[in-house]
Amino acid sequence: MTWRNMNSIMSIVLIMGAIGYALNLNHSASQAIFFASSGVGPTYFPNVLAGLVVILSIVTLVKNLRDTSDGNTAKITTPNAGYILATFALVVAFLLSWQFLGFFYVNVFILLTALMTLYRIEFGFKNSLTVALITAVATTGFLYVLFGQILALSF
Amino acid sequence: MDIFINDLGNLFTLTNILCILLGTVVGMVFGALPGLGTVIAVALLLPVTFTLPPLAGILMLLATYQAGEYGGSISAILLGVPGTPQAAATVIDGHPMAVNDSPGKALSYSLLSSSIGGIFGGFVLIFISVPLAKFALNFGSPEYFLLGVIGLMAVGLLSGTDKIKSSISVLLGLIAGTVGVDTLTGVNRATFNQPELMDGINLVAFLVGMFAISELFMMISKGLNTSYSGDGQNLKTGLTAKEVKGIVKPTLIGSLIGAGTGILPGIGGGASCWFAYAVVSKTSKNPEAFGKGSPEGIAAPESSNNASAGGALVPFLALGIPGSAAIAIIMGAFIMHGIQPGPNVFTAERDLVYGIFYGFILTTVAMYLVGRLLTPAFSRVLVVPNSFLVSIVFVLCLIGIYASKSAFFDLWLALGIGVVFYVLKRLNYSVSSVIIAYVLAPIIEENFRRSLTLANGNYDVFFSSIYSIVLVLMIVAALGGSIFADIKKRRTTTG
Repeated sequence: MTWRNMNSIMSIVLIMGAIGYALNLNHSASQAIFFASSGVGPTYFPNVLAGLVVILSIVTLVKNLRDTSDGNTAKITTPNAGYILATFALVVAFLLSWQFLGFFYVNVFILLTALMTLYRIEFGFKNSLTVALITAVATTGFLYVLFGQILALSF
Repeated sequence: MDIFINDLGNLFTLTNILCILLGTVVGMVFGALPGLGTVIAVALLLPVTFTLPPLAGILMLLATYQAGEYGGSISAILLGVPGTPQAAATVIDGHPMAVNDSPGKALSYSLLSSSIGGIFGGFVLIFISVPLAKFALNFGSPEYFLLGVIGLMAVGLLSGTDKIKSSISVLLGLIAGTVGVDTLTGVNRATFNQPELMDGINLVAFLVGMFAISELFMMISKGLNTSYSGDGQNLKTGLTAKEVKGIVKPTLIGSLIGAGTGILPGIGGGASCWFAYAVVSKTSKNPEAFGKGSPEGIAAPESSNNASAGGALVPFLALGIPGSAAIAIIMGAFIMHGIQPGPNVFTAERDLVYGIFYGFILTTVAMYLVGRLLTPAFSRVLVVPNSFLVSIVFVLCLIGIYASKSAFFDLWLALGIGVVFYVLKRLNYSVSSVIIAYVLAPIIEENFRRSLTLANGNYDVFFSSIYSIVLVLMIVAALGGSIFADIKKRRTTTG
C-alpha cells in the first residue's frame, strides 16, 4: 500500500468516525434540547468539533489525492511487521486469558516467555527460549513481590 | 518566615523524599533508553500517584520529568543516540568529547549544567507564576476560554509539520475530552452505551495507549536485537573549578533561553536546546571548538532543556494551560486528585502549590545527587536490547492501566488506542496535540458554554473586556502569522 492510499483511508476513517460520534452523541443526548435555552446545550460544542474534523479531513483527503510526489506515492514499508502483528495477537490472547480465566501472574509469565522467545528467535529457538524463561521467571517474581506483596494489588 | 518553615516541613516528609528518588531513578533510566523517553516514564508512573498524597505524587512526576531531561543526555553522550528529542543538540559536542577525551567529563558537564538549568527554572517558576496567577484572577469565563484556545493554537500550529493534521489532532483530543457525562447538565455524551465511559475515557488508558503502546510498536519496527555499545570505562563524574568556570556563561544563556521558551506553550525543551546551542555557538570566544567536543556545546542545550521544565510549569500552574505532553500528563495527576490548576489553586491549595515550588528545586538537587552516584550504572542499562525492554514495558503498561480502575474495558481501550495512534504517528499526526487538547477540553468547553449562557447566546461576550480583546487579537495575530509563514514557505519552495 502507498502512503497516499493510507492517508486517504485514514481521512475517510476520521470522517466516518466523526459522523458516527455525532450520531451517537445526538442520540444519547437527545434530551439535551431541554438544556439548550441559550443555544449552547451539551451537544453544541461536540457537534462543532465533529463538523470541523469532517471538514479538515476532507481538506486532507483532497490535498492528499492531488499530491503525486514520489514520497507520497511510495510504498509503505514496515520493518518487522510480522513481529508487530504477533505482539498484538499475543497481547489479545493474554488479555482474553486473564479476563476469562484469571491467573494473572501465570499469564504474565507465559506472555513474557512468548514475547522474548519470539523477539530473539534469530539466536535459535533453544537459546531464545532459555533466556526468555530465565528473564520471565525473574520479572514475574519481581512483579509479584512489588505489586502483589508490597503494594497489595489484586489482579 | 513561619510560613516558609511550615512549607519546608510539609515538603521534607519521608513519603515525598522517597517519591522524588523513585521518580528520579525511573526518569533517568527511561530518559537514557533511546525510544522510551520522559513522556512514557511520566505516563507509566501516573497510576502510581492514585495511591499517594497529591504533593508526593506530583513531585514524583516532576522528578521523573526533570531526571528524564538529563537522562536523555547519557545515551546522547555515550552512544551518540539521543535518549529524548531534547538531548538531540547534546550529541553534537557530547559524543565527540566522550570519544576523544573522557565520557565521564562529558557527563559531568551535562549533569552540572542540567542541574543549574533546573534550579534556574525553579526560581523562574517561583517568581513569575505568583504575579501571573494574581493577574489571571481578573479573568472570567470568556478569557479562560480564549486562553485555552491560545494554548491549543500554540500546540497545533507550532508542534507539527502539517498544520491541518495537527489541527485534526487537536480536535480529536477535544472530542475525546467530551466523552462521558456532561458536568453542567448530567447528560450522557457519546458513551456508546458503555458504562465504563460515563466518567469519560480513562486518562491512564488514553495516555499509556497513545504514548507507550504505540511507541512499543515503533520500537519493534526499529529493530529488536540492536544492542548499543559505548565506552563503559572512565564514567566517573567530576569537574575542576576551572572547568566549571568555563561553562558559567553558556549555562546561564541556556537557562535563560530554556526558561523563556518553556513558558511559551507548544515550544518546549526540544526547540529551546537548539536555540541555546545556536546562540552560545555564535557568541562563544571559541566557536571553532563546537562540533568537536566543546564543553559549552554540552552546557548550553542541557541547561536549556532543564530550565524549560520549570518555565513550562508557569503557564500550567498560573493559568491551567499545559505547554507540553509531559506537563499535560502531570495535569492528569492534578485532575485525578480533584485539583484544577489555574489562579484559584494558589489560594485553594496553597500548601500544594508552594510544596511544588520548593519541591521542584528539590527534584533538581535529587537529580544531581543521583546522577553523581548512579550515572555509571545507568549507562550500563543502555546495552539492554529492545527485545527485553518491549516485553517488560508492555506488561508494565498493562499493569498500570488495570491498577488505575481495575477495569478490563480500559485494557482493551488502551490496546485499540495504541494501534490507532501507531498508524496516526506514522502518518504525521501530532500525538502531543491530542493529549494537550484532551486535558484542556473541559476547561475550554465549560468556559465557552458558561460565557454564552450568561450572555444569553450573544457572542459579543468574547469582546466584552480589554483582556478578552487582547486575547482575541493574540489569536488573530498567531493565525495570521502562521498563514503568512506558510505562504512565504510555499513561495520559496515554488520559486
